[in-house]
Amino acid sequence: MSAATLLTQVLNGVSLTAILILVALGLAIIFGLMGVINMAHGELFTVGAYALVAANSLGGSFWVGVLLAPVVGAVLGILLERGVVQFLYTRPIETILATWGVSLILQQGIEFIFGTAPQAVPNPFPGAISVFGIVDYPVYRLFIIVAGIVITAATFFVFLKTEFGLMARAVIQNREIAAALGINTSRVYVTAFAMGAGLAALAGALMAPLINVLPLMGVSFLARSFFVVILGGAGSLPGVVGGSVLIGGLETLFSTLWSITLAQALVLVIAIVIVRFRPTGLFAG
Amino acid sequence: MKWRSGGESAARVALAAVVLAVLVALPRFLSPYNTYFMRDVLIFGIFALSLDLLWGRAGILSFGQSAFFGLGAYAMGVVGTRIESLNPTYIGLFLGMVVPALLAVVLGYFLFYGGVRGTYFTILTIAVTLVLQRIAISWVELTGGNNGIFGIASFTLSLPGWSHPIASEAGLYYGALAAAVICYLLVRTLADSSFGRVLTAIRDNERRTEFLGFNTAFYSLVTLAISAAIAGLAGALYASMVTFVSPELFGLAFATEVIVWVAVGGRGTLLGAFVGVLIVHTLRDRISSYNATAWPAVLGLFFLLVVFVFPRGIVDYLAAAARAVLSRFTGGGMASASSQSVRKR
Repeated sequence: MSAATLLTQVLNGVSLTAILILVALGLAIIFGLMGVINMAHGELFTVGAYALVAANSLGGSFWVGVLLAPVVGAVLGILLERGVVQFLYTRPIETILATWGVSLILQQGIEFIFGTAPQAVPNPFPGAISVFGIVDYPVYRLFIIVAGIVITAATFFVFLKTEFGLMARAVIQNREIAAALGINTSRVYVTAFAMGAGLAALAGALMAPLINVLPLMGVSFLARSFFVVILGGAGSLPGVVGGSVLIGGLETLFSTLWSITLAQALVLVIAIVIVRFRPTGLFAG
Repeated sequence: MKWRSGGESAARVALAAVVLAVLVALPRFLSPYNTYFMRDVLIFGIFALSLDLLWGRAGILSFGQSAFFGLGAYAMGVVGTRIESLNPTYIGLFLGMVVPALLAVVLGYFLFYGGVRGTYFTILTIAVTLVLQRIAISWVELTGGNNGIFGIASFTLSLPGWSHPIASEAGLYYGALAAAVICYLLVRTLADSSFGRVLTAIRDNERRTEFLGFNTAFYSLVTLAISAAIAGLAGALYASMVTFVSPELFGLAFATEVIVWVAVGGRGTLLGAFVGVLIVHTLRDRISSYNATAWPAVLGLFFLLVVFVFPRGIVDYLAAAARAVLSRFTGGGMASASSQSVRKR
């Protein structure tokens, strides 16, 4: 394999990983904090992409859409948490069922508003530039990598350096004691849920110029981010990064050798095998 | 629900006989379309029964039952279009049970023996379903890709020297009815046996069951395998009666429908599986003929209803509502023996 091809594949893997981290961060925060599996998380991703579509069709630029998407996602997240999830905190199976129901309704809602035809979103950074003089790589994908790093760093900052982050980590560690120490766990939940939802929506908006925007586009990212959270350990932010690198990297690697279908199947098999031997995740704790 | 007195036992048998008589007489009164519809209800009922065993009795929620159904259906599809000499129906039914069971054993070994339970297990079953559907679509030589497999040999009964393909709607209906009754009796016997009681224990508190000395991973594995075989049987039956299979059978949508069927009918009641299919599938049929795209949203609504309004199934909900209304008329204090329902989650 030539250096150009290798570099291209590596960059492909990194850009997929970047998107995956953003989507999985939201899921991991919600799962780690509240033990809640949000099956509608994929739809939050989709909503973000469609927010960009809507902004575009109303004449707004890419940047307007990218700023709008997380806001829409956060609002939807708050509605979801207050309306459905908050009643089901001690009942994980019911949460799965209820949020799955919401995801079906959301999918239909999106289809109803936008139709089933794939929507195209203009690429704000068309063209390619030379990377290290070795190969020409699409500018937009490089932008995604940079954006992913920046946003992930910002999320880490919020969780490690702010007071909210401290409260959130306390709740993740031990819900009851945190509440006993006077932390308003209810408010932490809503805020964290909104953050997670906003991140997923942002990821969807960022992804939109690269792929066909369809009502069902979130489903495959939902599955992948589940793997990331399972492998990386729930509630562990570094685990999300590690898990995303693993999943994104493996999928990209396998898809160069075989078809994308086989690649995804293989990643699934590996995930199942890893779970068999390390049920708490590879990077937990 | 255990029936205690002899009188209640006799009443139960009488009720069963009446229901069976109605089911047997049905084709005489229904249009061909509705007979096919009821046949499908029975086959899907067997499918739902398999999930009720796994989820309702053992407490293991799987979004992957359609994977087993699909494997059974495609096993019959492959066999039914390539084998001419022996009776393809029998081979297809056999493979339709064995292949999914094998997958279940492999999955179960990796997951149950790895300590994967609860929500992690459920999520992984979603992934399995997604991947299997992808494979069904892309492995075109074996599965016909998006077009599926046509022209599967019709359901055929045979003995040495005699072969009788069944193609009439009434004949297929009776075939499905016979299969449904047999499967129900088998699962009911299993659930009422000591094996079934261990399953209920696992559902209620797996750790305590383990401490009592039971190898819960093994019990879960066996249950998954049996559930897979039954689901696969339903799939193979479906393929041989409809003579056509497509990748939707592997899909996540189908997997979530069977969950709603079981939840609406009453998780763990076994008979509720058939009731749930009847109610939800009929609703789907009516709504889809009215508006082709509305059904998924209605399905989503059902999920929410099942969680917030009738967690024990619609029958239990209506019965409870009926009792509440009745007790208001009889001045309360009415001790009803039939409300001795097992605590369900």
